[in-house]
Amino acid sequence: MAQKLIAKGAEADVFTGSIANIPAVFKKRKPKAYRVKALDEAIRSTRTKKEARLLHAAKSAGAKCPLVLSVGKNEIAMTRLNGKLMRELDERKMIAVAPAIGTLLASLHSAGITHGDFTPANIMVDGREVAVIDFGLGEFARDDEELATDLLLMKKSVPAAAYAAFLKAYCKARGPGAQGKAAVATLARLEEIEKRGRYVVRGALA
Amino acid sequence: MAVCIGIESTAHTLGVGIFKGERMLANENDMYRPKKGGIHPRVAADHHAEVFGSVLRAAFEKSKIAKGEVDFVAYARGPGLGPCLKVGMAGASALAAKLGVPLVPVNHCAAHVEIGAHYCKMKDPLILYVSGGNTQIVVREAGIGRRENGAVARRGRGYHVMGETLDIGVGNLIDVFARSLGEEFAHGSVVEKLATGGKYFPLPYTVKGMNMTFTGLLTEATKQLGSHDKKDVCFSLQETAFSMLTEATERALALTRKKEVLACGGVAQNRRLAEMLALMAREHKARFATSPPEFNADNGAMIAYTGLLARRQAIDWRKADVNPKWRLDEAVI
Repeated sequence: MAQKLIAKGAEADVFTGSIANIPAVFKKRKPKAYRVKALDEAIRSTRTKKEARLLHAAKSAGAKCPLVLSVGKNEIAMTRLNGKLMRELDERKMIAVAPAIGTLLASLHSAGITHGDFTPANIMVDGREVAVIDFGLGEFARDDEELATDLLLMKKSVPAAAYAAFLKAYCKARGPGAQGKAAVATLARLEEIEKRGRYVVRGALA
Repeated sequence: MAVCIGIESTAHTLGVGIFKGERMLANENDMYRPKKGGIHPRVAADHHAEVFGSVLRAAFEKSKIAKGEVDFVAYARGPGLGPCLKVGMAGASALAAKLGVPLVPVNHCAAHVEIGAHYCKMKDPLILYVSGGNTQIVVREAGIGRRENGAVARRGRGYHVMGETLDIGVGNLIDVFARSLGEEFAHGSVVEKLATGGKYFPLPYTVKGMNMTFTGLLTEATKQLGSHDKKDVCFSLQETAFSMLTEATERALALTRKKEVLACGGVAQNRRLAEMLALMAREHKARFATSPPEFNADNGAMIAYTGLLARRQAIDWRKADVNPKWRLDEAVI
């Protein structure tokens, strides 16, 4: 089946195609000429494996995301999702889908998964359904520092009203009980990160 | 054409540079070299105070301008070591008061960026600024006001820091590691020379998006000196640190789709880093250049040049202050 290049990222190329008539997306990590071979191969294969494990864990946690179809040394094949990227929505629609995105992120965080690049460029919206893609910068982590960074990125990249709706649903989904306390700790860390200065993500790109 | 004298004193160098329009007339610098260990801020400040007069005189002589021709005095207000910054500020204030001209506070990082872009003839570059204390991936952004410490926003061109070190600067990593090698002159160039012909072995590699951390790498590399050949540790340290920088820069380049990549700051002198960045930039069809060597080291000329660009931010000398933690994204020119 012929594959078509749909995105050229910093570390991977993304193609569409199909496997056994299932529409699929192929993410291939390219070799980098600037790195020594041993380092280059180690980075590409460990990241590919980790990304597949994260996608699998996210799925198990009930978060909507692509399903892994196969994993090669430097390549993952996964199901293709319908819909469009959240960043293409206008403000009104962003606010409408924001609660579903809050719930989605809470299910990742409650399962000990951080996304690492949780912005409207990595969220697919199909009607009322939302799904998250690209776990390339994700981690298995329960640190409030890592969790809060996901919230901060969203805060910096959507209108304030959309963030408010997103956060409300996020807190609700992580509570009550022990998980509720967890959300409070994450929010406290978020506030601390913002005060720190050096670590702050300052403003979305112009 | 306006003439500006620039005073640099953020770390180990006391520098005086003079620019007339876009032409450099003088760039005189005197570096404090500790016999052992890193920079002691107070000792460095004493050095700056001691050589200030002679460096200033040398710059004036070289430039062949008369005192009456000076239109602005600029000084590096930060970021840097407090005691060192204060010597530069005091000298610049006295000079501005004596000459009766306005004083321009300049951000040290902005000066490295601006003079690099000027000499490399770049209009809108993605910038990797790498020095001892700073490691940042930066783009310039147009016409917005900024607030600093709750003060009134000032209008002008600003900077957006896309990614940076979350702990120490990459130059600091290399210098501290170099000192544990037991070489007489511990410096980045020593590591670069020793790394030639070394073999790679894995060391901690930490990139988080466009940010990176270096302390884990420093600890492990220092520890491995006991069990690996010095050459191999130097080589692996450089490969790891520079691959991290290049990866983070590449991510920023893919995001911004800039057509120019500029490396500046002391570590930009390293040939292996420049080679990696050039290879990476070529893949994205971007032009890569390194700032000229004399401006990668700390120098007064870059402060003078940026002082002219930032002349709208000029103040009365009585209002001069320093800010050791002045972030590049809080600066406006």
